Amino acid sequence: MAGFLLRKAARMAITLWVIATVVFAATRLTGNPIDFLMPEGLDSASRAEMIAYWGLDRPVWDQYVAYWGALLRGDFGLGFMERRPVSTIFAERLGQSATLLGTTLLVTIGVGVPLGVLTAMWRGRALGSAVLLVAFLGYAIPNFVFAILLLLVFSFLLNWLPSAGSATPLHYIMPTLALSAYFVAALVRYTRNAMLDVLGQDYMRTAWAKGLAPHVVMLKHGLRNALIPVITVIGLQMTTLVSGAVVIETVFSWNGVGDLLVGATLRRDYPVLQFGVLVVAFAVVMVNTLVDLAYAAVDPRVRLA
Amino acid sequence: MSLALNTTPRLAVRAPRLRLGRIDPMLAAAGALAVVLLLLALLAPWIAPFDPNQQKLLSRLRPPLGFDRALAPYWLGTDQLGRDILSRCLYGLRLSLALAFFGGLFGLVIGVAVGLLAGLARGAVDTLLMGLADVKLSVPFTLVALLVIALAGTSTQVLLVVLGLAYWAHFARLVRGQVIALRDMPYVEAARAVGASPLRVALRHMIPNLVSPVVVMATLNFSNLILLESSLSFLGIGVQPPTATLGSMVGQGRDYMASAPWVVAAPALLIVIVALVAMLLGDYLRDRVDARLRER
Repeated sequence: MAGFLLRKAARMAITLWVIATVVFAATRLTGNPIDFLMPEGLDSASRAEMIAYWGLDRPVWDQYVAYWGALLRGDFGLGFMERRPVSTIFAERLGQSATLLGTTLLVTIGVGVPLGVLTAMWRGRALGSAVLLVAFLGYAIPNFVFAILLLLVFSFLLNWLPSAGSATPLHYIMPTLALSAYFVAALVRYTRNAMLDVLGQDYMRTAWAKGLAPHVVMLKHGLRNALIPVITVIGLQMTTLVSGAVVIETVFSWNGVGDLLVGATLRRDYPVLQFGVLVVAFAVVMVNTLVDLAYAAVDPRVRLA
Repeated sequence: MSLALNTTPRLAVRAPRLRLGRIDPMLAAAGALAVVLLLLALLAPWIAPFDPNQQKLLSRLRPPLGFDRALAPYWLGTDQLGRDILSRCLYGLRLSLALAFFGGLFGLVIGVAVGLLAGLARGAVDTLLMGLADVKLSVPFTLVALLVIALAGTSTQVLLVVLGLAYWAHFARLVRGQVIALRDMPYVEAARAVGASPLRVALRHMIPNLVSPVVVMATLNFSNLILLESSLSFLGIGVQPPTATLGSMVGQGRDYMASAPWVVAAPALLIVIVALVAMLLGDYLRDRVDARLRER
C-alpha cells in the first residue's frame, strides 16, 4: 500500500508540474505576452516599460523560477479589468461554483445510482426501456441546449423559475438540472451495466438460494459490488463535469468560476484566466487522485495494477 | 488476449447481438437522417433560399410560417438582424459538420502518429508521450480551449486547432495499445525477421490493422466534437459573427429568447438531431466492429 501511495503521489506531482509548465510555455511561445495583454497601438516606450514591469526581459529560466514562486504563493498579481489580486477575484467566485457542483453531484448520485439499479431490475420491461431511452437523450443532448430549452419553458413560457443569478434556492433548480442531466444519464447506464454484470454472478445465486430478502440480495450483495466500477466512472467524469459547469454558469449568469473564466477569455484578461485554469486543473487532478486512493481502499485488487 | 487499451474496467458483459437480416428501425432512421443532414450540408449554397448573412432590418424577428406576423419566403422566420433562419441553419450545419470532421481528422492524425511512435519506440519515448497523453486526459478540456483561444484569438482556424487538440490523446492511447498487441503477432515478427524497416512494419503491417478501431473511435468522437464546437461557438469564443454555426446561432439568439423563441429553437433542435444521429451511428459501429471498445 505504501508503494502504491507513493506511486500515486509521484504521478500527481508530475502531472501538476507538466500542467504548470505547459501553461508557462504556451504564453512564451506565442510571442511576447505583452502584445496580446496590452491594448493595440501601444507606443514602444510604454511597451518596454511594461516588459520590464512584468519581468519579461529577463532570461526565460528566471521567469520560470519567478512563475513557480508566484504559483506557490498563489500570487499572480492584479487582474487587467478589475485592478485587484486575481486570487481575490477567483476566491469570491469559488463558493458559487462549489455549491453548484455540490447540488449537481447530489442529484447525479442520488438519482443516477438508484435509477440504474431499478432499470437493471426492470430489464425487458417497458418501464426499463423507457428510462433507458430518456437516459440516452440526456446523454446525447448538449447541456447548453438543454439549459436553453429549460429557460424557454420554465422562465419565459411559464414564468415559474428565475432565469439568471443564484439568489434563492429556486435559482438552483435549472442550472443543477441542466448540468446534471448528462451525468445522471451516464450513471444510469453505467450502474445498470454494472448491476447486470453482478446479477449474473454465482454469489448472487447463492444469496437468492439462501432465501435472503430481495432488498438484501439486491443492495448488499448486488449494489455493493456494482458500485466499485461506478465510483471510478464518477471520478473519471470530474473533468467533464468541470467543463460542463463552465458552459452552464455562463448560460444562467451564475457568478462562479466558469463564468469568470469565459469572461476573462473574451476580454483577454490573461492573469485571471491563467490563475483560474491552473487552480481548477490542479483541483481536478487532486480530486482524481483522491478518488483513485478511495477506490484502492475499497478494492484491494486495484493496488496491484 | 493482450488488447489492454481500456483504463476503466469492463463494466458490461452482454451476449453479442445477432444482427443478421434484422435491421433496427431506430438505426435505419438514424442512417436515413444522417444522409439527409449530409446532403443538406453539402448542398447548402444551392438550396439555401437566401444569403445567410444578408440583413434586412425591416423584416427582423419574424416567426416561422404558420404563425402570426410570418413573412412569406422565410420558412423558419428571421433573426434579430432580419436574416433568414433557414439559410443560416443550413450554412451553420455545413460549417459545424465540416469543423467537427476536419478537427477530428486533425486529432486523429496527431493521435495515431503519437500512438504509433510510443508503441514502436517503447522505453523513454513511450513513457514521455503516454505521460503527456495522461496529463491531457486529466485536465478538463474546456480550460485548455479557453487558454488557447485567449492566447491565439478567436477565429475559425484557431477553433479547428482546438478541436484537433480535443481527442488526440484518446487516439494515441488506443493506437499504442493496439501496436503493443500487434508487435508480438507472428506476422509482424516475421516481417521484422526478413529485414523490413520499422517504417515499413508500421505502414504495411500495423496501420491496416488499426483502421477499424480508429474509425470507430473517430465516429464516436464526432458527436462529441459537434458538441464541443457548438458549446464554444455558443459561448462566443468559437466561430465569430456574422458567420453562422449552430452553436453561435443559439448563443446570439439567446438574448431574444423571451420574445422570439424560434431564433434559438431551430438551431437548438438541429444540434439535438445531429448529436443524436451521430451518437446512434457511433454506438452501432462500436458494437459492430469491436466490442472491446464499448466503454470509454
